[in-house]
Amino acid sequence: MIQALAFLALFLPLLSAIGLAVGGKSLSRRAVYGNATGSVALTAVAALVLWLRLIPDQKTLVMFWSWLDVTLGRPDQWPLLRSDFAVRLDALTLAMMMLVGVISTLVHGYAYEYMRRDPGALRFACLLNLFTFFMNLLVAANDLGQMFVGWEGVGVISFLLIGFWYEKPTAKKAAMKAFWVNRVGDAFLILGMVGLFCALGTLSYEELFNKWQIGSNELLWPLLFMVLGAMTKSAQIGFHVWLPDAMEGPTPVSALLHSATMVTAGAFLLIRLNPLLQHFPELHTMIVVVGVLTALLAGAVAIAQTNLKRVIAYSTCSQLGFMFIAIGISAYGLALFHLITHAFFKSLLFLGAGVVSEKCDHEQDITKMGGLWRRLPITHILMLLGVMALVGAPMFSGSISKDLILEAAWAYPGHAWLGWFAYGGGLIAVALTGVYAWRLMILVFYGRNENAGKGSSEPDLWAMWVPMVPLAVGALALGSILKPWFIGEGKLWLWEINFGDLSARLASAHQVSWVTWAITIVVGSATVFAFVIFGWLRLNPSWMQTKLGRFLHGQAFFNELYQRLFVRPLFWVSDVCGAADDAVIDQGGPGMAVRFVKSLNRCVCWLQSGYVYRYALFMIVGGLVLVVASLFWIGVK
Amino acid sequence: MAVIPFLLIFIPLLGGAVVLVWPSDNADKVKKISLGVALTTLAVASLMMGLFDYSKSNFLQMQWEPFKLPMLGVDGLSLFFVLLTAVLVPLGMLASWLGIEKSINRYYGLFLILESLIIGSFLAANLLDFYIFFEAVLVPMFFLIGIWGGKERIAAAFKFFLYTMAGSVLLMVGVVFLFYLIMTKQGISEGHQHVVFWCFFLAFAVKVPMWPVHTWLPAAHVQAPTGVSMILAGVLLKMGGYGFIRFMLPIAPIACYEWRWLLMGLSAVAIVYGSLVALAQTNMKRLVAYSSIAHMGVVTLGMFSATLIGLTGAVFHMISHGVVSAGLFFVVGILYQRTQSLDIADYGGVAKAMPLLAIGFLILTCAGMGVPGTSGFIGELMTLIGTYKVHPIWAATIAIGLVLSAIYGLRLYGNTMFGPLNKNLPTMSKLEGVEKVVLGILVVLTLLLGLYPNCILKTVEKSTLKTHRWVQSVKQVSGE
Repeated sequence: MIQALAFLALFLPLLSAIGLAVGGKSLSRRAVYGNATGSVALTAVAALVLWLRLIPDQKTLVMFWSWLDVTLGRPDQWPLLRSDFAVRLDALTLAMMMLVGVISTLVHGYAYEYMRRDPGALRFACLLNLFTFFMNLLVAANDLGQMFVGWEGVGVISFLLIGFWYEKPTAKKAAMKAFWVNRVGDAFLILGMVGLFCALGTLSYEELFNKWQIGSNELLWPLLFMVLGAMTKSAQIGFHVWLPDAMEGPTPVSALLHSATMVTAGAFLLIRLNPLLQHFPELHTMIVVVGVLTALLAGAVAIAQTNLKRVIAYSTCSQLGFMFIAIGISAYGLALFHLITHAFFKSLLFLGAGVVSEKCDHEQDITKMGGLWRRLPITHILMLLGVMALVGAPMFSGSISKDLILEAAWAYPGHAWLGWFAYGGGLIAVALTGVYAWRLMILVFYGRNENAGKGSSEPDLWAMWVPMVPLAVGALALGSILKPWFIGEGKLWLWEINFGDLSARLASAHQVSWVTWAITIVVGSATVFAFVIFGWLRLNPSWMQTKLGRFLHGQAFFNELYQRLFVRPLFWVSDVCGAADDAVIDQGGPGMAVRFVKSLNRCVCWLQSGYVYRYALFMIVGGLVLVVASLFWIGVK
Repeated sequence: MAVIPFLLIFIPLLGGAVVLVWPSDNADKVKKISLGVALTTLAVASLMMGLFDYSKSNFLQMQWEPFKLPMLGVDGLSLFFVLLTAVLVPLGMLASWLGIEKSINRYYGLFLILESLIIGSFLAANLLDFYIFFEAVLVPMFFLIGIWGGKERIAAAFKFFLYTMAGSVLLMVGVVFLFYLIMTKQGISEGHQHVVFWCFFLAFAVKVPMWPVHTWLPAAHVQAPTGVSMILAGVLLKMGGYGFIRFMLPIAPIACYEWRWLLMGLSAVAIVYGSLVALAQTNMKRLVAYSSIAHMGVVTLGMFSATLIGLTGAVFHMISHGVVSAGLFFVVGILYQRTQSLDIADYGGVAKAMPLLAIGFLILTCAGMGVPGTSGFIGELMTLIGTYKVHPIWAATIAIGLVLSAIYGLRLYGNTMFGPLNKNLPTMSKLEGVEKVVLGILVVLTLLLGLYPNCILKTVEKSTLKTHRWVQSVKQVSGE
């Protein structure tokens, strides 16, 4: 029973994708998307049933087949390179599978209407299904090997999804860029994996956690590499350059991959590895710093973006920064909590953005929008809920998870300055979030623009906003519903997460009343500020002209910097090598040999010319040489 | 039983001879007969796989011993190379189905003879046998490139022949030297090992090819017809790697161990340099050829890391690369067949016209980039582990290779398949039935090896363990 359920939960989307790829051409769009959505929904249901049966009393492992099994000598000797395709049924996996299943189902349903005129609708359904499969493979893994299959699998599928409209040169470029940047992270990740294997002789999570011994510092480098890999996938500062460009893909892709699932894989991996990670305070410091910087930079850049989806993309970066802060202060459970709440409200925002740009003739520039709340009242309300959750309005799910992270940061026991840094940085990031989120709402929905949204002749888009309703409910209520699961005393152990003294820390933060109040005040003043600046004074165009505005609008010039720092030197070196291969290696080795043989050949040919006078000359010269040499020889004697 | 290795060499040799003298007026019949011969060889190879005793895969089995001399035999190492050859040759023939038009009987005859000689070098049970087959392979290859190749085929054929011949001459010196040592009943002392090492190393390094003796490869690939390119990249290069494992490591282990820094250094250069040069290429075939050099660098790096897992991974990577590079050359051949151009800039947006090709090409590109789930990953992972144990810096070069492979791989894929449809392209017709079959088989093999690598690893590791014992004994002697 459990075996069958686990099989369904993992493989249904794959089977559906293969089925559609083979026989989907003869089906109607409704049947195709019904099939695709159904398979993903069943995945979520299977995960739920498994949860109800197993959690919180037990965790088990369902094995499907052995992927790698290399004994390397005598079977009793380690290392034993081993990796299996399996489903690890514990709370963390099942929670992630349910999350992926639910978001994925809604996005599939949304794509049914979104793709109504696209000739590639079938391909899109297949790819979304495949993506869900690889994501589930990633979260269900019981060892790093299978995890890496899912990790690279989502990378490849995201290449195809970002480049879904592959005839557009920008889409092609964005897809390639996303894969290349991610590939750097993958290289780090595999180095980390190999390092862990060489140190501990296993890839399985359980054995890694058990075999670790206090005092073995050789794990620092491998774990650092793992963190770098996670940073790339989760678009942390320095590695984030691929995410904004990835918005070239269709909107459902952004809603599924670039908010709820794929980009959270990095955070998920670090949460999964927490029993190893918790022994390395150096790494924690680094993760906190990275998280804070990402949250700040991405939040600031988002204020000066004009592309609707790009604002939301930078917002995702910034929120992922909060997850990293939570991981860095060892509040792994809160990172997972924020991951879940964020998935809901961020997909909601992306799906809403899709409706808005549909309605505006695929316009994505928010400075050309305005006053849309009248034309799109339902979308407006749904997006408003999403934005409230994002900025952290009280009682919304985003505020609950974010507040907890900041409180836990304030009470961080390790280094006092680190806790303060995380708390202070986080507060500023919350303020930035409020500003960019409300700026988005004001420019899109409230500003005055009579022309916006008139061009569209669509009668209604109900099939597109129906999937948004459950997401909005999640954005509204999920935080309060799930909160006891993450901070309640009795249930902590079941996440396989080391909670440490989290409850005590939260309690100590609650005793100081301003810690919590400060967050609410910051959110409130950021809201007021945004409405004054962008709504009342309408300073958006002039703000974009300032030096800071231009700097942030140019996305802090990371792309230009990397172009100079990495891309151009790489191609220069490659051109030099390419030229040297012909000119130096080929001409120097075999070319030299050929030239040598040819000149030797010319010499011999000249000697063997066939002219009698030349032979006579040789005879005379040769005779003279002989005579002189013999005389000389005699003289020496 | 003992007749099977003999049959594997004899059937394609006889078939090739018959096809060579067959009247060329009926092209269709010639093709069908040669394909039949190749498929019979494949059937015999499968029979060999079925009869093979996997519990004793570290011993030479099915030995053919005329006059009490061990001539041919198979063990866990050679088994898969023979199978790889037997699979790739019919595929290479099918790949030539549409492209080759002049003197078909000679083309297919030489193709079969080539197969026989390659299989012979893998099945050889003594060094002299191996040397004869190793050398003889050059002859049919020379004609195949020189007659049916592109515009500059003659120069490329001569370059290929002379370059690899120069290496093989040293192999002969090594063989004669060993023969002399054994005849005079001397042991192989450490000094002798160094002589043998250099002879064998240079001979096989040209074949692999290792940096910096690689320049014959791109020249030969660009000129060779598709089917020949598939065999050249798929199997011929592996003869060098096979020679390293079969002869050089066991015969001169001390010298190998002492020189391993040089060997690993050259391999690391091959990975990074090969990838960088591949990145600079505008010609598709040259790009794939340079990527082969980088991949063979991974193979040799793993092999000379003197770790068992690196050695086993190297063998797996060779077999995987055999399938993948054959597939990539086939894809390039499909495109070339339609446009007569090898320049990447002449393509763009092909995915629209040829969706099936785009899918197959993507999977093969992924395998080239070492994406897990495809065969390319397994070998990379195992060599990474093996080299990391020596020093993480070696593993880092493989990781750099992984990043660079994604850059040049996707550059090739994205610029040909994606983007707006290039207006200068002639209409790209959909895949023919034959092309679908070949591409399908190669893609399925890539995925099969990637998802169920145990089918090969279990058998290979017993044989590589035997080779590795020599290295271990060296380590014990030198007190490490």
